[in-house]
Amino acid sequence: MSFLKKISSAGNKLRDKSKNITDTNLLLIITIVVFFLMYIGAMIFLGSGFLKAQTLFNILNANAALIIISCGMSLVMITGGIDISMGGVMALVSMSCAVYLDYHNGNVFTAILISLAIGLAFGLVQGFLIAYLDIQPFIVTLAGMFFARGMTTIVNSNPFNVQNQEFVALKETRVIMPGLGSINKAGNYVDAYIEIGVVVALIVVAVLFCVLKWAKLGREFYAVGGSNQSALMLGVNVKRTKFFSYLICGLLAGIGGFVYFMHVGSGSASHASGAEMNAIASSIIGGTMLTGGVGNIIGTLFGVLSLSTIQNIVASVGLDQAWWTGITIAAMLCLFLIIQSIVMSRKNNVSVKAVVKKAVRSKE
Amino acid sequence: MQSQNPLLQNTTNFFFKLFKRQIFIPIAALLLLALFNLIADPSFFKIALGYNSAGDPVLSGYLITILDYGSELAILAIGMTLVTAASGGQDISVGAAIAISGSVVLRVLCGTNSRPETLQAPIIVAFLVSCVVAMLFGAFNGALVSVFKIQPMVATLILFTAGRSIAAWINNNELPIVKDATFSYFGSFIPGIPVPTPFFIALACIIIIHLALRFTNLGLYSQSVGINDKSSSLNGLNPAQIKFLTFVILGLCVAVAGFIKVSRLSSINYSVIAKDIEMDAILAVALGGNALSGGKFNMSASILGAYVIQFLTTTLYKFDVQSDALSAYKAVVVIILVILSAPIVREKLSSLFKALKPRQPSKEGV
Amino acid sequence: MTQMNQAKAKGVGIIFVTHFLDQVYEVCDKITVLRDGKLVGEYEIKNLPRVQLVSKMLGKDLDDLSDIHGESKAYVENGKSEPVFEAEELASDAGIKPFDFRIRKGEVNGFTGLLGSGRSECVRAIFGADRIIGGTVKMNGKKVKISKPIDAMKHGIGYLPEDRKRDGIVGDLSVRENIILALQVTKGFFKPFTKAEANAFADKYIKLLGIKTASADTPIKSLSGGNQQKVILARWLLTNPKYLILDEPTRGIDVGTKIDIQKLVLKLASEGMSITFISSEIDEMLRTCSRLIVMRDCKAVGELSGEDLTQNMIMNTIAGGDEK
Repeated sequence: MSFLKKISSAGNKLRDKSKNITDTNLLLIITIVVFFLMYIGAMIFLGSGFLKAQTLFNILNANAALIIISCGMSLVMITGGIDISMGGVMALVSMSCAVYLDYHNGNVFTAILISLAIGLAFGLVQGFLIAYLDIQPFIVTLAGMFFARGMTTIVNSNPFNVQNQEFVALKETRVIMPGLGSINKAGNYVDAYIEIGVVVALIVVAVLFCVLKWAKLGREFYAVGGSNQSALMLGVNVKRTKFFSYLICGLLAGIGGFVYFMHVGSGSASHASGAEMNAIASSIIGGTMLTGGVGNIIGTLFGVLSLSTIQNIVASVGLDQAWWTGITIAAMLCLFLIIQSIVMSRKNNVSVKAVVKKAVRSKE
Repeated sequence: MQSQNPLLQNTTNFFFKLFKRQIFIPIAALLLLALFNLIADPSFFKIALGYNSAGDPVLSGYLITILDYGSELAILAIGMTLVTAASGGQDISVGAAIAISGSVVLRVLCGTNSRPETLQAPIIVAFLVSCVVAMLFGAFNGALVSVFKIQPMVATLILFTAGRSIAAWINNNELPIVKDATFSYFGSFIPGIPVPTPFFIALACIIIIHLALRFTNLGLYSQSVGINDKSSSLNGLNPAQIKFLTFVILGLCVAVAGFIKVSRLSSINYSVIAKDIEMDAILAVALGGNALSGGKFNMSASILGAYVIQFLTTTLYKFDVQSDALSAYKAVVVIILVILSAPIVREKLSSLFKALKPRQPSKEGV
Repeated sequence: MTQMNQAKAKGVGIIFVTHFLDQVYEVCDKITVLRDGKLVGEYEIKNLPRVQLVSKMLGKDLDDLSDIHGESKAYVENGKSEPVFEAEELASDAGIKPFDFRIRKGEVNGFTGLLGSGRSECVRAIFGADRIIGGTVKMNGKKVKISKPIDAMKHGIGYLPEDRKRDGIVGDLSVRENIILALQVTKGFFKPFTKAEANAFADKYIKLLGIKTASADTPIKSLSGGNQQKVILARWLLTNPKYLILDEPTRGIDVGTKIDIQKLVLKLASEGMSITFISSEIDEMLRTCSRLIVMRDCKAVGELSGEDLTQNMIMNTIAGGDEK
């Protein structure tokens, strides 16, 4: 090719790339930018606490469970559904493990298995009802939430702290982050640390990210969320894919429940109250669209971080935490929902070019 | 022998006709619950006439409780039915909205002092202001759904998250108490009338909605928009307007229900008031045989459904089920109901039914 | 197009479904023609001139229908010269080029062309069903604003949509409710018809159009296609329109009902109603219309009337003069 042609084709490629910036990426960029603006703004204007690395680590520590269930929630939302039972499942898992560990002298390993089993059970039943019986996800998971909360009280009506030695040891484990420590009030150097739960959460995020980006199942989730009909035409088993999304979500609810349990160390019927709403909010803020087909796990991670940062900002500014966080989260959610609605209406035809390009490339 | 047949035919025909009507579903549920209680403990149905602390005659008993609390739910069910019909989704913010509405009532009545000796404004003014506020929040939800085309459950998630915080903020986080006796009549008893007042309020609302459905096109338009909004717009309707209107009407229902609730306690508890009432309201609509995906609806069936849900709740309370555990049982009921009404399940059941259907009695006689 | 040619060069087989003739001639090697659910044939593109392709796509009606003009007389103008409806440079966001259009009292005109040529988009713009972005509209010489269907309805225009399942019927509502819906909307929110009035309307049209239904309460979705179409027709006739637009009123219907509808169109025209009749079947249009506007690729490419109203002229105009 002549030199001029090379330049013009490169220019075309660049222009095409920026034109084809997908909804997912656009929303993701917005999320990350907002988060950094908030955090840096906090560092500048609110100083002290925010300048310590431990503050960021504490956000992670406190929200490891939320990160995990938000990933599950994003997954389900990508396929076009929703799961509002996750908070209830977390509470049930916490209480069940607590009862098992203290009243039945259990060991931690079995407790983990119990958590996974409970999560899977919910995922199985809900997935079946939604995917194969075609019942609206909202109703099924709303019922699931109420069932889980009710069962938590039936398992044990009073909240209590877990005394089991093995468990307490696990709970207290700290993963030290070298070099990022700070001086505490007494003048001693304290290492920065994260809890095991955070490690689990980050692993979950990484695994899910890889699955969604590279595995066939991941692409199928997006296809089903984009359009059931189109996915069917592409040879995707729509029902089975939806079922898997709820199954995985249930499993993650179980894992998240145990991580939450590790963080709080007790069982109570009011645990994880509103967690599912936080998960939905995080997912939406992270760029996952309710209508399905669009979403990114990294965005969800930042969504959780944004949510917590707001809570921290609200606390340090001195506003009455419980009530004000509710309002600010709702405002953020509202803002992002409107942004999503605008993005949706701006881009509602998939470019034929993109589809054909992909088909040709995959043949090589 | 042959003379018996026409009577039998007529009764069976009557039941089959009733069976086909939508309102049969809540009636059947009611009968089941009543039967259950009859077998378990017939004293459930006892109604006693006693006297309250002020010396007025009051009726008491489980059935009265059902009428009392069920009325709040019935009022909500009216609005929820319309929203479900037109938008195909549900409003999960009603509990939070009730908190806001109730908070406004108390704010107007108490002013800035949270324990005033006298009312700061007439009760009617407090009620009207709360109506306006509740309808504004309804309009907010309605705008998100009709203008921004957001799914109703998700759009109302916003108010669900923020509502109780807003309610607390209205009263500066304080818990005002109203000392006026007249105010408490609305939530309990009017002196001299043994039937709880909420029942009469609900009755008024039921009459109003039936008049509205009869003398306006609210019913036809909501159903049309819910069934097919493309066709509806080609017939000259404005689906966005209709959906918006249903949310505002629900806002009005919220105001009435909120008013009753704060009147009961003459105070408010922001995190507890109307907790989980959205679940009950949705259940009431579903139990009334209405499709949660929108379209045709039967208002009377929803209202009856509300009382049936209350019947269920009261029955569970009687058997000492803790209020937290209550939700587990209701959840099971919801799931069963929803499974039974799923199209796939209905098809399987109807083909099963056809296979088992008894043959028509032959006309030749015995 | 370049993408497809590139893919072709790499050996990818492509099945391309389209209505646009230009695209077919640009990319395709072979073409399979389907009509009314049956295979018409498979042809090599280089051996098939445009006019022949169009004739295979439109085909001839199987029925041996006699001239039905004899039954009704054409509407006689009594001096009024203003057209009932007139549009100038009307454009909507549905992708058609701005077009001019006028129709007189008692006239039956048609829009013809292949599926996707923009016929439905034109009439939807007239009815205000799509977002209007330009142009002016006059009714009986007076300028009016039609930006949404209710405006058109209030000025006496009715529209029977192309896709009756998606845009026409309100499935779960009864036959009666479907019939009274449009008129009800024009009357307003606070003036519902009484049960008696609604029943009277429904019974009148069930009888008039011969709608086969178990009762006026049956949900419309359980009726056959032809009867559903009759109900939608009844709906618009009930509004007593000055100008009625029928978009593919005979699609997917049994032959007997097809003839009924065409006869009805002529009768209504003779009584003074202006009608726009759209159909993919040229025979029908030739039988009912006195003037035809030909559309191709979202643009009006010709207007035929009088002696030019023949199958050949129409097909030639659709296919277009220059072949590649």
